[in-house]
Amino acid sequence: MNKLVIVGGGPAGLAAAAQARRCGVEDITVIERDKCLGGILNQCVHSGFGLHMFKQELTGPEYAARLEKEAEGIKCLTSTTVLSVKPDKSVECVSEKGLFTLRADAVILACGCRERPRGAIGIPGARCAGVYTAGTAQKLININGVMPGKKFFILGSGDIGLIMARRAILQGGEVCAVAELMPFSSGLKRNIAQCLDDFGIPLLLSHTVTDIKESGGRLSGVTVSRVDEKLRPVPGSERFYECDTLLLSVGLIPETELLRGAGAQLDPVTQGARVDERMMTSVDGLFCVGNMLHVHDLADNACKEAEECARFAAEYLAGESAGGELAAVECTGGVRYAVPQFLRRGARGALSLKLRVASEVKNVYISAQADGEEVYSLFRRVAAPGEMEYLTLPEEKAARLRAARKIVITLRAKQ
Amino acid sequence: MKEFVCIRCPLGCALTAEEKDGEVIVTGNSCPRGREYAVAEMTDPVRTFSVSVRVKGGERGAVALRVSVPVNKKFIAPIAEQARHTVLTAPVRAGDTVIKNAASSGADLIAVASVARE
Repeated sequence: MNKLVIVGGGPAGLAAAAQARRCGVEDITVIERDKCLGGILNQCVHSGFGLHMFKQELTGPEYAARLEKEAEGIKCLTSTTVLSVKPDKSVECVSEKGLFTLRADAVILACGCRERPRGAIGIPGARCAGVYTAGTAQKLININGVMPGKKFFILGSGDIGLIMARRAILQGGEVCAVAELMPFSSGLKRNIAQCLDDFGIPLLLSHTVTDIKESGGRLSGVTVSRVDEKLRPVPGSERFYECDTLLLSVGLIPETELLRGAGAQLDPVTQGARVDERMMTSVDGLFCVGNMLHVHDLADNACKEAEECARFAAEYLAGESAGGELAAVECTGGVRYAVPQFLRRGARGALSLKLRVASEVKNVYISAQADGEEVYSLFRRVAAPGEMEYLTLPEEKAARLRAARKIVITLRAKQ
Repeated sequence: MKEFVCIRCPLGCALTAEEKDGEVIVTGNSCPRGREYAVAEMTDPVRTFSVSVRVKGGERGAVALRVSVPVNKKFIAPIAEQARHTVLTAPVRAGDTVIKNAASSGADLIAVASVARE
């Protein structure tokens, strides 16, 4: 009873594999649908990876190579797609060799997330060529060596949108502007400075694309409108931008097909799995980590979460008990979500909670409360939805939280 | 006088910097890191970046090259230009120095990944 299958060979999957081996798990198999390991890191050729994990600023491919080295010697099945995971932890796979089933004692799902496409945000206008998600354009440019267009307009100012604005310029394209629906960008300040300001690319806050024009089947321009405080386009504020390509960077959603197939409970806010503090889903022995659990800001943090999960998976395989009944964590007062969604009454050790605030707030304490009493707090001069917050409760404080009838994570203003 | 948003932490202070008698005067910062950033941006604004170049005869069509050291941002455009006119032939090995002293910036361009022959 010690076979671990990890679905996904990206940063979270590789970090989980390496850590599981360090924790004594002998029979580990990583399954990756692409022909090489590393996942999305392979196309993220900008630098800024690995500052926490390797104390060095690496590009995505270099970071992937480091992770692969840590997992060297572990069995990895590439070019293999997992079709389903059953509650009995049988994993149905397909590859060039055909269909086959692996029987596991524990499964860690690390399948990442997917970009929201045009259909998810309902932009009206022509159904023409020239509309790409930012990640698709990134793959075309950095892996295939193909420029998807000459003159770009970018909708969405998350980090991928910002990074692709700079990429388009570096590879010889033009960028009209980046439009952002919200009155603030969720991207890192560094990326706004170094991907937009350095190249004089305008950032249009509170703006969105309201029409797409085409000519001969190819995009020929977009209409951009200002939006009011309820995010509705303001009539009369339209402006037309001539361009041949629209890149969409409008959000990431955990990839949950395998979770749903296994019958695991999902969280409507994170849109990923609901897990306990071991990152185990509602299906016994089925764990979930990284962007598949909730979308992270940094690959390093996805890896850290995966390492924690691998340790718990190793304990599970060694037959250690789950740690008692579940206790739900409630988020209120400006906290949008927290992971894990459940604590275990009988769990021991420190507790790490990850959370996001709902809007930008200044001078607040992030407060963990047990039956109305604060047991732990973390002060933030500024907290924004784009930056995940981490609460690490030492064992004795974690124990008070685990024992409470009502566990609440909330924000408290500084007096 | 120049204005920028500090990028050293999520606070994002609005900085202004002015050069007076060979010294950079910074205002709007709430910590020493803000001053440091503004002075660097005024005197030698350096950047780390990578460019994707085409690869012939490989299992994929492109590979990215990164600068070996941070370079002043005035070299971004000339380095990108040089990279656009570069076509490599597979195999490429991660860590290879592909272009020495790119656009006379003092930085080399290093392959960040390997590309095997097709």
